Amino acid sequence: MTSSAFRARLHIEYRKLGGLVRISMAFATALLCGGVAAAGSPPNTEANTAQYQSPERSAGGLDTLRGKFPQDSALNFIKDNLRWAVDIAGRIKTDEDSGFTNKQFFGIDLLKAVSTKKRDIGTLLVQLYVDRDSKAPPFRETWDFKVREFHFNYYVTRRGGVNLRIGHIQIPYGLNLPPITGGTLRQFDTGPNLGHKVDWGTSINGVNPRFVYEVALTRGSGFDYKDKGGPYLVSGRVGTPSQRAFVLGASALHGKVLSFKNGSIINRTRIGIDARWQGGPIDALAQVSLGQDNSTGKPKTDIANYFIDLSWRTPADSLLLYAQGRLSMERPSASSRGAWTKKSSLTVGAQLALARHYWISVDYQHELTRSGAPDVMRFELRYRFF
Amino acid sequence: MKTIGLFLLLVLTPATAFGQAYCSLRDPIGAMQSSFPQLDHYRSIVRVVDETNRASILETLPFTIHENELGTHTLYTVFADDDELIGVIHVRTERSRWGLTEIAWALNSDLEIVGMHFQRSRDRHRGYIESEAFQKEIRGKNFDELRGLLSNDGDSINDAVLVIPRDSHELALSVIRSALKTISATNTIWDDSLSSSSR
Repeated sequence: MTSSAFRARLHIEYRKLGGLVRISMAFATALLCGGVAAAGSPPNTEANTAQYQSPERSAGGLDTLRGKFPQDSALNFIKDNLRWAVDIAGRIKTDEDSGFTNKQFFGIDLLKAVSTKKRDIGTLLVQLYVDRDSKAPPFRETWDFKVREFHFNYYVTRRGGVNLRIGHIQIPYGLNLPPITGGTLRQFDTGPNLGHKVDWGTSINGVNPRFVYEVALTRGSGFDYKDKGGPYLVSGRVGTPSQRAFVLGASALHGKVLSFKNGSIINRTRIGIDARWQGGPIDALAQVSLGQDNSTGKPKTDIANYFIDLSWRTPADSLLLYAQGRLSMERPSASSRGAWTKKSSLTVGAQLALARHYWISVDYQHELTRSGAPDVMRFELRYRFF
Repeated sequence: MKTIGLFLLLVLTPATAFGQAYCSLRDPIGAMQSSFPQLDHYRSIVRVVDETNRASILETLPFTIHENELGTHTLYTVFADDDELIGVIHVRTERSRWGLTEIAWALNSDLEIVGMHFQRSRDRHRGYIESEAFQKEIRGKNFDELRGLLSNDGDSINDAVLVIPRDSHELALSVIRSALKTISATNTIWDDSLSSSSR
């Protein structure tokens, strides 16, 4: 086939795609407009955060982000190298002693490699969604609008060694990077250590043949930007390259974190080690975090959190099975030799690709310590249109 | 009740293919830095691989490609400081025994193999594939030369021209087939961009 014939054929295919794309975009816009009215509600860290494209980062849920705008338009600057997806999910959560609640998520993802004619200069990621909680806690409305991620990663150096990210970003700490749990029931040890999974701020990040790194200064308020009480968070992770079978990382964070539940400020410090083995039938991910929490009106508390995740998948990743163990220990800092209060749990889960656009997930959490917490089972059906 | 209704609506919507889509969005920065030491800058080009393209690619291959390999893919064009195109990086996702494998292929502007890097592989034989013993067998080869490393039906290694340790056969076959798909897809989908970049 000649080059001109090839280009002509490509043009026709783009035109065919155009109609479908416009319909889906109208659908996405309607979803977004419906959610804007509910904007401004307090954040909820249970809402999982999708992940984003970045050097050496797997994109998890975005692995299936394959939509593309037609090329025969005057807006090529915006549409060039732009991908998008509509993300819809429904969840049911059942406690053994209190019936069930449900949540629905309606979101849109946009990912654009921003380029000059000569080179890429950065990546823009926009992930917006609305969700509805049938039993919303006091700190949020039934309908809520959220900016899941919204940032631009500017390539300061041309080879990817130094980048500057700004916006609503993933907090660089432990297994939170590279992010692979976006929008899924499967979550790692983020809550007890970070408090928030995403935050408003900026980071320096990069890749070189021997290590990857990201260091961030963020607001410390999570989903919404709030400055009451002067929250802030400094966090960072340095790790070996993520393409290796064995990956090791070291992380630290320090700051004043805003509690999304009651608006109080928590002085929080953590250091952590994370390790991943992805060289055989079973993936193993582990994280150990040590540190201190100091909340207003409460004694200073020593913290030790341990987490492990074992997973297995089929050849095409159509079925994922996993088991997770969590152990959280705390004691008053004043009694440095005092007994630890322990809380541990076991979670088993599965994620099945029903079809090209559908995933069904289930997990079951059982408390191993006698805290009185009920067992919890959750179901999720997720649909991504792209 | 509303949730059940939503579930039913989603489930009953027609779906055309089963299994997850194979598309990697992990930027292969490490592969670029390793494969092209003279890298100065790069530019990504996102294109859609559709059924028509798939048919064209299949004409060149002795084996089929899964329809989940369609969709939007990125080619990274790599340039030296004088803006000369020195090669491309194309990441392919392949099925393997313990989950999807991601391979970042480095090709020169003539679409010959410069190198390959696993971005994700759980196969215990990846060490052999990454060794110089195997890499030298594929480095510098074009589509036809790589095609010659396989049997006529493309289902096995051509033992007459390539000797592979018995327990690494399966992964080596998958890698060589991936290389063939990569070159064919790059040539079919991005040929016009590479021509203009080379000028």
